[in-house]
Amino acid sequence: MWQSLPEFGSLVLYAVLISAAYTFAVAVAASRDRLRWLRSARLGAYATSAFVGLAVFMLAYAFVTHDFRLRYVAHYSDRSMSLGYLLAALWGGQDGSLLWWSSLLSVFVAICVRWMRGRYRVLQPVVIATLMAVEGFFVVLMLFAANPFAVSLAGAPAEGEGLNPLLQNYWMIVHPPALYTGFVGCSIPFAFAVAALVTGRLHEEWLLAVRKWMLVAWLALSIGNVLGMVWAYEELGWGGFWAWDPVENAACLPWFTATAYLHSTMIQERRGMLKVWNVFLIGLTFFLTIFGTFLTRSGLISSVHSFAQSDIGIYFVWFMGLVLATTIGLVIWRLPQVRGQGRIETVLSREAAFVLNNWALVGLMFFILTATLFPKLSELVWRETIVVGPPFFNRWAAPLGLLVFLLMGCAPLFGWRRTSGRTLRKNFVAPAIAMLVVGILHVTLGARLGYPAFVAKDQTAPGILGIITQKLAMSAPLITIVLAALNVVVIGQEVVLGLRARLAASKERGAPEAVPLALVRLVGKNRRRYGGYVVHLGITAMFIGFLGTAWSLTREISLSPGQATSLGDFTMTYTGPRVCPGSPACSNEENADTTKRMVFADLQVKKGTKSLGRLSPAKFIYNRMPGSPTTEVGMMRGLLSDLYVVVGSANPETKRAEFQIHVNPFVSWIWIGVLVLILGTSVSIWPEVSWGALGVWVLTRTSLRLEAESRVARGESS
Amino acid sequence: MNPEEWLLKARPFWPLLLLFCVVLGGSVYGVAIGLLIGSGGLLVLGLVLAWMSLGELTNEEPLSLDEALELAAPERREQEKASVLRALKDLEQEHRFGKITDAEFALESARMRQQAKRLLATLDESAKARKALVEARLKRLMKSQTVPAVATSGDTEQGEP
Repeated sequence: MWQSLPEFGSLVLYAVLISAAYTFAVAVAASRDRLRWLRSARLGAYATSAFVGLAVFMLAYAFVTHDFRLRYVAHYSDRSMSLGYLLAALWGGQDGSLLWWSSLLSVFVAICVRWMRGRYRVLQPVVIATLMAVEGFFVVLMLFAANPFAVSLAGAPAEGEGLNPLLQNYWMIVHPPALYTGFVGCSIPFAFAVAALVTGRLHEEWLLAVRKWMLVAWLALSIGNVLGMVWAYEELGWGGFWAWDPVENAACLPWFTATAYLHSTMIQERRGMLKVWNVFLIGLTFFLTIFGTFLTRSGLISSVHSFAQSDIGIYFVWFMGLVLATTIGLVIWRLPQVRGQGRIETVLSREAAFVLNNWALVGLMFFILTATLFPKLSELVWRETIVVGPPFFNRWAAPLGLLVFLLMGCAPLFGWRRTSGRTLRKNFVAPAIAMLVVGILHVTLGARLGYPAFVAKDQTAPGILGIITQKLAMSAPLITIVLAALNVVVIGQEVVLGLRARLAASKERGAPEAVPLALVRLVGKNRRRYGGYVVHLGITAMFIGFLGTAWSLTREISLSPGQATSLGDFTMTYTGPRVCPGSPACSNEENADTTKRMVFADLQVKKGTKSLGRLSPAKFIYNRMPGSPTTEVGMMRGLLSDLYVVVGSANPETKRAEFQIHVNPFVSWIWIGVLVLILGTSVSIWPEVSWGALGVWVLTRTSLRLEAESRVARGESS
Repeated sequence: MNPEEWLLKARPFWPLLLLFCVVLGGSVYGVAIGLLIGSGGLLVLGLVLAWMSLGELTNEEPLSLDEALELAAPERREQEKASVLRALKDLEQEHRFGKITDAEFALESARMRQQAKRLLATLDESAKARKALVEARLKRLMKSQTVPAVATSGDTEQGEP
């Protein structure tokens, strides 16, 4: 065992702090055009990243060697855990997850500093200084409030407590890193925004720099949130994927503002408008990433995802205050320069549609934020306990979400600046016909197929507003289907228009292109536009997945072996309980697992007359935590619906088992949608213009190099 | 090239080399040893980088060409030109798609073209002297038949990541 590991680990954290503080100071000094100092700051940033990496490797080493002297290692691992879970325990608890956050940030810092080589010379020092300040904050947190290298006061236990069984799930290995990547990725756009405000270089330069970074962060946020849904769906066993849990809500908040930014930045690039708004959105997105972390870690709210109550909340409050003050102060200081140049001439324009879309997205974010915090506020201010549950969120978030969905479909139909009535009519013909046809088909055939256009909903609020929300909720399936048709047809129409134009142009040139080739070239030449449309297709698929909850079926039933039950198209026959390890019916793998006792309740499933196989929902009783058995869902996935079975209990004597059975339509479309979204974002991120291709830049570099070569040849000093 | 220069040139590959050592050590001697190798490598890397950073603060020498190019950046007007040309391309596409009328297209397109022309003229003017220099040097180098080595190495070494 490495005797001095705890002390050395803490020493490394101090090294990170010193290195970050030093780099911050040098970067600030370098902003006065001191090029040597800028080089020094760049190297300092790399060094800081290396030290953070060292701290992560050391903590990983402590986990792998079961060094239970470290309080964190003892609390979140035990000797029975596999290597994958031992490494996942790095971010399984408060202290380690802060180090993990810091390490992801250091990766972003290193990549960003490398990427800034040969560009953004004026912005670079402030970008590096801002990133070092953020890095410094997390190191301060670790050193003074949540040190992952702190030792247990009672000495090293012989065995660790083990990772929470709920976290011992494949999706939990990948979900936090993905979400943290999204959170951390938002630091780079924030650093660029601060740099642009500090230096006064507020033209297109920083916007272009930020776009790709924001897209990367947005993509990671999307993946992280969806992986969280997958984990909740598979592991928590309540039948759904989103429970409006405060921590889930906090994780999705920056996604809304980042989405708004990705649209509003186009207005600034195209029309020079919304400069203040864009800076505000970037600042808000970064703020929300810190706020989300604060919410999970401060113990302010209770959630299945949150860490234990701790005193690190106050550090976050100070840091959030600093972020807010910096952003607002800088915007006010630069207000004359960041005022927009143009104005929206008519509501029939793309910029107007984007602005409305921005308001809806930011409105949705504020609604979720307020509803999430309201119970706590009510407790603090009125000393009254109020529960804001999923029905409340669904009632208000669904209409706002549908408004965003509508605007997402309509915006591409408008041109920039203004759209004439004739053009608009022409553009809307095909989508309107599609919406009408799909709407009529849904109303007439939907109920027969098991997907009715209208569903029964109770009035959950008094008065006219209650009636409106009730009617909206009742017709949400029809509205969603119709809007999905709008979105798909609009995207199809855009592609067809582009393809036609390209084919016509190629024919005119005398080199006609085949349709597939023309399509590939069309997308290749306009990656941002068509990548965006592919993302819209992904979001449409996800909306269909969300819509499925309106038609989900649930049954709770108690069955004895041999008894059968039906739900939807599925028939399930209970064959009896099975306890592993020990039962001859258990597989070799199940018998070999001695870390837990597994009680399965097997069901044979049929759809019509076709046998679909065995479903084995279970309760797992971990040796380390016998008092908290986990629920293991039995699931059969399908494109049209998932069969989702949870076993409540199985009596070993009577062999009778309690089941909760769900048929969840279209859930798979959410996962398909996110794959399409990844594809679209990747297309969009792909660079269109490289700096190397810019003529004058190449010329300048070549001339400098040639001049230097000739000086060397003449024996002059460089 | 002396070993120190060689090491500095290979700087971008240091993390990759370290990763390779971690994977190799981990697969041969076990994960714990792999992690220790990684820790050792990162410690050395961090110290070397910090030392180099401190060295830059006290370095009074003028920047070498490579160092200067590392910190150079395209000027603002280059980026503006790229933005205007991109916007013009979008505008033409929207016109082809029938999103905007002919009159609006003509008006907006003329404005953007005017802006692009102004930027191109300014950029051409500022590049004139450098262009002449490059042409003269190239001619001279062509005569001595060393063009590919010089021009290519210059461009790829300093090419964008």
